[in-house]
Amino acid sequence: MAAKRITPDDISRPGGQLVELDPAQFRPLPSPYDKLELEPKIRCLTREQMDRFECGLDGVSAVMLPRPESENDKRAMLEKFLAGLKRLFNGHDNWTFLQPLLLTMEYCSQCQTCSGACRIFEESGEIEIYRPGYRSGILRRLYKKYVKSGGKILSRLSGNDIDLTWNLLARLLELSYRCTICRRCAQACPIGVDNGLVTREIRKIFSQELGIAPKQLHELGTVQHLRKGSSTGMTPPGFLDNIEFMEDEIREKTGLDFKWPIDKAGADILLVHNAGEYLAWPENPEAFAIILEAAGINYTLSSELSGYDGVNYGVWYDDMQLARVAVRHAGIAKKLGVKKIVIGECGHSHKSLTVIADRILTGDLNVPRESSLTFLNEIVKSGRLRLDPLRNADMQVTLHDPCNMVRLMGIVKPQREIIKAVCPNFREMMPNGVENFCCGGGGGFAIMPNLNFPDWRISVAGRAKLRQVLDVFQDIISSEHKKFLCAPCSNCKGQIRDLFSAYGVFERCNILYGGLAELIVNAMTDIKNPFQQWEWR
Amino acid sequence: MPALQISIYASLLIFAVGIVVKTIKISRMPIHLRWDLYPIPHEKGKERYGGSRHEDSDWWTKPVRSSIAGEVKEIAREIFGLKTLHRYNRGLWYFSFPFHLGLYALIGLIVLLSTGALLMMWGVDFSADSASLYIRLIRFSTIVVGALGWALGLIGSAGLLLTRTLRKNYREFSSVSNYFDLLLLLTLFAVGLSAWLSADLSYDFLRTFVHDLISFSATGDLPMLIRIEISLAAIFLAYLPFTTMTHFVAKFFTYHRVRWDDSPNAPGSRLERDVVEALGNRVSWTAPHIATGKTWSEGAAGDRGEPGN
Amino acid sequence: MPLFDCGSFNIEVDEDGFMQDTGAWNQEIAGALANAEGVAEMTENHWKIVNYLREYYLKFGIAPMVRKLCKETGFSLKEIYTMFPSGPAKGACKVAGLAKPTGCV
Ligand code: SF4
Ligand code: SF4
Repeated sequence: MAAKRITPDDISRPGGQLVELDPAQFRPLPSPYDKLELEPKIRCLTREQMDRFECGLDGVSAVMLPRPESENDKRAMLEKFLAGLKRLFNGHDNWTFLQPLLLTMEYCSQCQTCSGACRIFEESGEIEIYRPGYRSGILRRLYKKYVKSGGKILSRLSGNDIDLTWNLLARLLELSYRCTICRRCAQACPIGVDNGLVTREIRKIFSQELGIAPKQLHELGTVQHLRKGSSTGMTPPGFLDNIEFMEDEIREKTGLDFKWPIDKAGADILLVHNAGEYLAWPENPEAFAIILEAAGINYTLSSELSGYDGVNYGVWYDDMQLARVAVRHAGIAKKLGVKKIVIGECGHSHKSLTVIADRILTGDLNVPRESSLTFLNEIVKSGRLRLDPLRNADMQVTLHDPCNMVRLMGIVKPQREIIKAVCPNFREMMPNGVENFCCGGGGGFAIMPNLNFPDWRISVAGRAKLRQVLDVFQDIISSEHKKFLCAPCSNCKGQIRDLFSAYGVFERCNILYGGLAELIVNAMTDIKNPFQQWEWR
Repeated sequence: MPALQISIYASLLIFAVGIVVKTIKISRMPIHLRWDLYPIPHEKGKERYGGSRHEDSDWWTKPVRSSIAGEVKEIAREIFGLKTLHRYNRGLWYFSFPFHLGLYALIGLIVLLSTGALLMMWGVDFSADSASLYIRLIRFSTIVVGALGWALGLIGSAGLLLTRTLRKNYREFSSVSNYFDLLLLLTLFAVGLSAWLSADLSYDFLRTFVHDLISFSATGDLPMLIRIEISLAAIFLAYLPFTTMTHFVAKFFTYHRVRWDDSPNAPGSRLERDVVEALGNRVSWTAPHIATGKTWSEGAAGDRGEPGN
Repeated sequence: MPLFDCGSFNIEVDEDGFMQDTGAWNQEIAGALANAEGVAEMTENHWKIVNYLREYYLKFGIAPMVRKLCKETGFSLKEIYTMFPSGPAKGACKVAGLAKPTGCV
């Protein structure tokens, strides 16, 4: 059955789903997942859910946009969307990204190089709507018709007309959550056009003008982060309780007995982890504590509101929320009087605070910021830790490059130098470094558990990473060999955990995943027992 | 003065003004947040694998090791080798590369013709019987460069046009202007090639025409094909600034001002002043959380726009 | 909002079946939620876990670390999975009337 190919016009058309997702059409995976029966299902929404939420794109709902009750509601939202669209192209309202956005709108030469670079498009079996240029093609048409003068006539003449209908709005919103903003497409674009940016800009229209964003990003994300202290909902007392527990755990596991420095005035460094680490992968902050203690670093953690959670979900959907979180973090560092902030193993905190917020933080808020990978590498190189790589010799290790730290920040070598110093069996997956594939959890995906979206995130967005990991270990894929995927980013870990459990990768292939600092501690000869537990987490 | 000549003056003017206005417009856009994309070729010693200063501990205390040579090399690779396309889309590169090379050769042709024309203006004998080796060399290169230009351009544009028409991936995404641009160029190359072959093997006609243009003297009669060629060139020049083909301007900005712009916001710098000014913009977005009417710095200090909250 | 049928009355839950108003939680609701989570019968051990989660949640506004849960109740993660087939976060926490976990966890 050769279904008619989806074109940009289709996005405004009435009726149901534009595409049906069928795992049989996705790119086949390597062994042992070359059998379709091992492919996880993409659940269909129930009738009742379909009645309540817009799902007219691909039957998946990431945003859970309620179906409007009346035509009036639709009209009101369309009007707001139009207002937001116009603001997006105005230097006063959108000074933050106008230049790259306009360049992207005006100069794409339709060479389709970006499509080949996008893993979501490729791995889906080339589903048209996931093509990087499909999304930006829609925004481009809207811009040309509704924002540029004379656009109404010109777009009809040029054959690039588009109708801003309710269906378009609802589908475009979902479509802006089918891209991880990994910017691989932008890297491949000969002109320098940035389709990843387009995704974020579309999300911004919805968030900054209509107040629509996935609940986990906004209400339970940045808002909760700023008010309650963490997007996990962790309050300052909860944080302190967790620290106490981790201190106990370190004592029991290693015999080391020390207090973690909290809110220590006069410290040189403020260390900020993603608070998700404390709850889901406490061994990572524990490893940091052990290393920094052993190296005699004068640092502190913060128990102030938001100071113990380094995330910044604004980076995915909203410039104001991005700025608020960054200013909050910088303010805490300023108050403590530290010389620098060191950012834990979290990719988007790295990029948001170091790079993007660099043009938000001025004056004394501009506290220097450094990556923990760089920082840990300095410690490893300094010789202050007694390390024996043979303690990591029982496993083969590969490395995942988090997009935010690598392609988007240029941190490539430190993590490799560390791994080579502490793991004798290291192999690179292909491609790696700045050309890496996204884990599939980028752009906020890893923290969005709505309805059937996780299924999509695993089978489509995560597919490329799974393929790479299986490929790099293909010669030792059977479960008798211990294999480890080092992913120095909380978000990536969350995605990899869900990806691996959906496919049963740990049980079937004995591939475990985890952070970077743990590998260092596992190699420390001062610690009797192995720090790394070979168990699923 | 013949209309043909006037049309070239007019189109040159439109072209120049168009490009200048475009460039100014883009460069005057407000400063944007950083949006680096690696590799960045000026990161000395790290450009090969895409590293950055963020790989160094306390990077803000170390001297910036920015290398202009690195950028120049990269830009040259882009311009003359279409490096990115070569790496990520080889299939298209096979046509796009000759196409661009053809265009560069035609720019070369114009330069060579103008050189000849200038020499003629200064009274140098530029005819085929000139005894000077240099003059012969210029005449010869003009012919070679021109031939290359027409031929490569023709092959390239035909290939690109076919790709757009035959390959589904491209067809669905090509706009009317994508086709029109290519068709226009294809015609120009074809006409140029035939004009050269049939009427102007030595380029004496064209050179004289350029001479008359430069010296503002009325030009004489020209063979039909050459007149068509010149008209097409005039149309193309005047049309160019209004198309995506001006990506040669855009590319300067997408690379230098976006992908490769990693200038840190150093305390007391001019950049910092620009940032402060931008943060002074009033927010006009209207979502409930966003602090409409406040400045960006006030908005950023609150959690729902209440400053200091 | 979807409703969850507790037999004689309904409660509001989110799309994944987590209670909306965690303050309204009581033992009867817990029993009904447990049933839907594939727990045949709430034994003393089940209650031990649920009560600990509940207590911690009321004190700190968030679920405890999974490892802490194991340590304080004396059950291994495996045992918790046997008792609550969808695991500590999606199973036990739901029965204890906690909100769905958020953030990078
Ligand atoms: S690679 Fe760049 S120019 Fe080519 S289609 Fe994609 S965005 Fe457009
Ligand atoms: S940013 Fe990444 S996921 Fe999004 S369109 Fe580009 S390549 Fe695809």
